[in-house]
Amino acid sequence: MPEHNISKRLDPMSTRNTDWFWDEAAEGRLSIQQCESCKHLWHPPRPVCPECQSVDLRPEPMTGRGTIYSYIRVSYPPPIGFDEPPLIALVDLEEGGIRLITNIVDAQLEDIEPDAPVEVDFEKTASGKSLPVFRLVGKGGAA
Amino acid sequence: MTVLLKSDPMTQCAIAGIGQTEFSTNSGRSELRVACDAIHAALDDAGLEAKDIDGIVTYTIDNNDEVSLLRAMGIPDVKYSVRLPLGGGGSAGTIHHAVAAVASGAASTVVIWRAMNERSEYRFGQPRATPQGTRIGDMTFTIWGIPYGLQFPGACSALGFQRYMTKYGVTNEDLGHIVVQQRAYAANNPNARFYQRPITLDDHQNSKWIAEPVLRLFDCCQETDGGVALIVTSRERARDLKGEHVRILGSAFSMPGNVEPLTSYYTDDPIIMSEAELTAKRVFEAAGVGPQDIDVALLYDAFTPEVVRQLEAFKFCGEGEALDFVKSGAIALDGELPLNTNGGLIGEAYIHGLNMVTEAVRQLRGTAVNQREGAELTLFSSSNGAVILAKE
Repeated sequence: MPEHNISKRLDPMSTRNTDWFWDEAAEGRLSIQQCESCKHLWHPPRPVCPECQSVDLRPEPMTGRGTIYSYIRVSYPPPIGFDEPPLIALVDLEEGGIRLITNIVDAQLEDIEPDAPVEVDFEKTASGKSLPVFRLVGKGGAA
Repeated sequence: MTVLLKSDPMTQCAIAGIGQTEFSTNSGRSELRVACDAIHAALDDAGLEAKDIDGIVTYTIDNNDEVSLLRAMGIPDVKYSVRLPLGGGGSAGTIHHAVAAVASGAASTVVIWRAMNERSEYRFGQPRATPQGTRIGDMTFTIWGIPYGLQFPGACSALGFQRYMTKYGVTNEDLGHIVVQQRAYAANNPNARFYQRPITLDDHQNSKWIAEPVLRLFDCCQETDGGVALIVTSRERARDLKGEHVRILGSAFSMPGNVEPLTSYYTDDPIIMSEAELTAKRVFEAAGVGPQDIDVALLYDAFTPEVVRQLEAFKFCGEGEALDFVKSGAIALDGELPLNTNGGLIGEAYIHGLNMVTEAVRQLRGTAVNQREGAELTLFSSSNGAVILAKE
């Protein structure tokens, strides 16, 4: 296993289908793949639109608002890249039909309720890449 | 629905031999040697030799190369070989593919194997910084989970299941009842990692959190060194062999789009295990029986939530009722549906599902350590596939 700084988030794996997602995050945008032909949104991204088979798929910025579908706090074995057990959640975006694996930051497990509203923020990885994360709305300084 | 004739070739195959190595935390030998030892044991059980094998089937995450296996075993000529996707989810599907090979005439004698040193050579269930192994590089959790701390299979299972807990108001303590029963079975099983080590519900509740509020340590299978092998051939041929064969009454494989083992987060309703629902429909149709006819069930239990979801998908109980079903005593040996009677992957060993097939066979032979009296039909599901086995 490669050496890593235990307290710094790991970089996302680089692939030709997904690098743009993290590049958008670096610009402060949460973008989801949209088919230019039929306008469907897709996540995870894919090279072909499964609805109309178009290969013309582009990043489309989202509002960054959503709700918590499910959540856990992973404590053991300790996930690599975190000082404290991270809160991991599935978040449903308000645009509909899009669910993301993410972190709820600046919150405790006890603060989280199902369907709680959240808003996107961004955190850096060990090498300075950006990751979309979420904050509870009305807590921890979300706008 | 297809009307099946009694002569349907997909219902005319048998498991003619089962074999395994010891299950341990350190096999002390190579994974290829473990595979060969398991296959030799299965061949001995069937009364066959390596040269009789003309088909080989396994599933992803096994590290043994097919060419190396043939070379080591002295298997002279293989006419059929597949390696199924989906990791452990593909385990039951191996039998479906072996049956298809024999039924079509593509092969006559198929060996299925799983052999790993997943405890001593690496830690299969531990967090990982980078994807390891072939075909694991583009899975949901490796691309989308790792930077967020979703880095091992147990966490993946817990994240999806938390919504079920919200919807039906169940807790981790409710899951503990599954574990207490399975560890009681394992305590009687000399093959088991947890032989003579039963637990109480308090023990379960005192085991450390893996992913709060869903999963504790005792809800998880334990990485195991070991191997299991099965021999599939025609019933007609099996009758002439030494071993006591069991009939493969029905088999099925299901791979619905956008569905993935442990990380099926992107469907409309991830609480529903759609691959297991499809598999259940297919395998019951193929075998011509229903859930009420099954004497012993073996459900792939890498983590307790998967047991809950399969109990409901196979309609052994109603939606949202699996844990009440368990707490009623239904999964005990004298219950409605004795479940994972070897101790399961949680209690016996984590051989990625194939050690559940050996148990399903032993129940029909009457040689299980926790024997259900008069068992005539057993079912093994790994969600993406299932088999129903019958006493001849």
